[in-house]
Amino acid sequence: MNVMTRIRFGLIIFLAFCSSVCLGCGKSNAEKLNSDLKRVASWTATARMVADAYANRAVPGAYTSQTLEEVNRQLEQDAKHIESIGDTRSGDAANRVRQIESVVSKINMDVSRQERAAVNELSMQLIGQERALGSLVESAASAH
Amino acid sequence: MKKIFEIALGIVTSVGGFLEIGSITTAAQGGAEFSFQLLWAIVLGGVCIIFLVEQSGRLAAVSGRTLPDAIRERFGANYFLFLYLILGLVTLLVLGAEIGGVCVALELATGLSFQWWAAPVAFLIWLMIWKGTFGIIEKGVSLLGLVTLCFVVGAWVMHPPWHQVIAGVAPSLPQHDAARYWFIAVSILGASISPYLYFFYSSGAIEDEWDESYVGVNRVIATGGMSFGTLISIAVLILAALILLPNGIKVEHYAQLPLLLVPVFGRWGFWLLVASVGIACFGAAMEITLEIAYMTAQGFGWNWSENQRPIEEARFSSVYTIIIILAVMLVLSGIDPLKLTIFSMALTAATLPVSIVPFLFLMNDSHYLRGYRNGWFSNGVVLVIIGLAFLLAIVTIPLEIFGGS
Repeated sequence: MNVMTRIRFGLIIFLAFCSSVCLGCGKSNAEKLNSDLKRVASWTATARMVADAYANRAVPGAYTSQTLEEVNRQLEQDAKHIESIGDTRSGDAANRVRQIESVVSKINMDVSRQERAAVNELSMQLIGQERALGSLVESAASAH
Repeated sequence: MKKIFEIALGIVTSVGGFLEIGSITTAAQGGAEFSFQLLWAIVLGGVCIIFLVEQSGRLAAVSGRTLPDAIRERFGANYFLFLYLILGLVTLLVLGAEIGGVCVALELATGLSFQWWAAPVAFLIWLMIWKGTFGIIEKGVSLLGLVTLCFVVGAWVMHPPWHQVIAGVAPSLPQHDAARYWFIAVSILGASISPYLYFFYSSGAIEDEWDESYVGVNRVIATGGMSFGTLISIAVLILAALILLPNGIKVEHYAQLPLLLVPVFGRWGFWLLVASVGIACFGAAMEITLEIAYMTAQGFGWNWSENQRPIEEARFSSVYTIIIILAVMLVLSGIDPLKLTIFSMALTAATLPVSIVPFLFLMNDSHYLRGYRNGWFSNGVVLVIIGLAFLLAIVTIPLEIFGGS
């Protein structure tokens, strides 16, 4: 094998690698929705775990508040992105995200008032929201 | 007896100095998204860094030259300048990520945004380097860095399924999100095979006045220190796989990191995480700052030593002062520290060949190593690492585009 053949061979391997990676990125609407919903689920679980830890006095209030604010920022972005996806389930999914945002905001208010029992109760609501999200993710996953 | 003490201290400081923001976040991401499946990447990175660190230490002990010194001498000024520019840029980004890591730890602890901490943290790093000696920086901060062993305790307490953990050490193909899987694997390798580790280590050997009699000590310290350091990264991945994955949490923000330890240690877990991230990043930031200054001074033939007074090596001191200012500007610019970390780790992986290829030539040069040249096994390993480095350099950019988010 001379040098040019080797270079060509290397280029073919590289291009094959790039195209195999590219194949995975041309996402359908259902896939986009699925991936956004997984992100939402991740942030919802983060909010729930942080709220639980706060209710159990395991993390400081300042950290809890900042994390919940970050969660809401991320959820807001995700809701907008989900709305922009032209999928029949986008509306329902975006509404669900807004509901979660509202619960997280309420938790944050209770954190600022240091009402740990109320935080604990609202954190239970997030578990319900996570379950509902789970079924949305499954329905989006089965669609692609 | 003195050598045994030095070995023990060397291993302890290597363990304490191993973990930094890149290895914490990439291991946490790997565990949270792919369970134990990416353990092989940490182990592979650990084996590579053991060999590279051992060889850079041996080169310094036998030849009395640091790695940049020898590279400039053996490959000429042009290659050194090329290496210096590439490595300097990448290491500067890593330094920005480490300073960002300290600031994030302070934000977690106080609630005050990380950007407010950037200037005070940078000043403290500069002051420690300006006033401190190499011993204080290497041993003091690294000893404090032993707090990161809390990850190992945490992983042990969680009783992971050991058969699955062991299975994760063998490389396997992903069942989902292939691009993401390979991107995280590359980032883990970039975080483990950090050029600053072996460049700093060779300068440290000269600072500590190692000679040929330290070849054995060097081998034990490099192997022991890097192995235990790798163990801590493995522990982070195990914790993420056991705690974050079942909850469906992907690590996309530093605020999620305390969730690795809070479920295990409760209130202590939060503060242990803050201390681990803060101290590990602070230590790494000092070592990286010094490494860039060492490389500059060694490459251009200036006076250098952290043990001398700054006035006796004005150019060396000026370099680390400027480097800290540049890195802190990155943090002040508002770049998300997590994104900066992941980006710099991937870029580190992409530029590895530039700093690893010279090993093959230097470690076989009898002018430098005399009777301590590489044997067939070490050469074989270096060749494999070079092959891996080239592969990483080729695939990193496409993976960054398709699997980075």
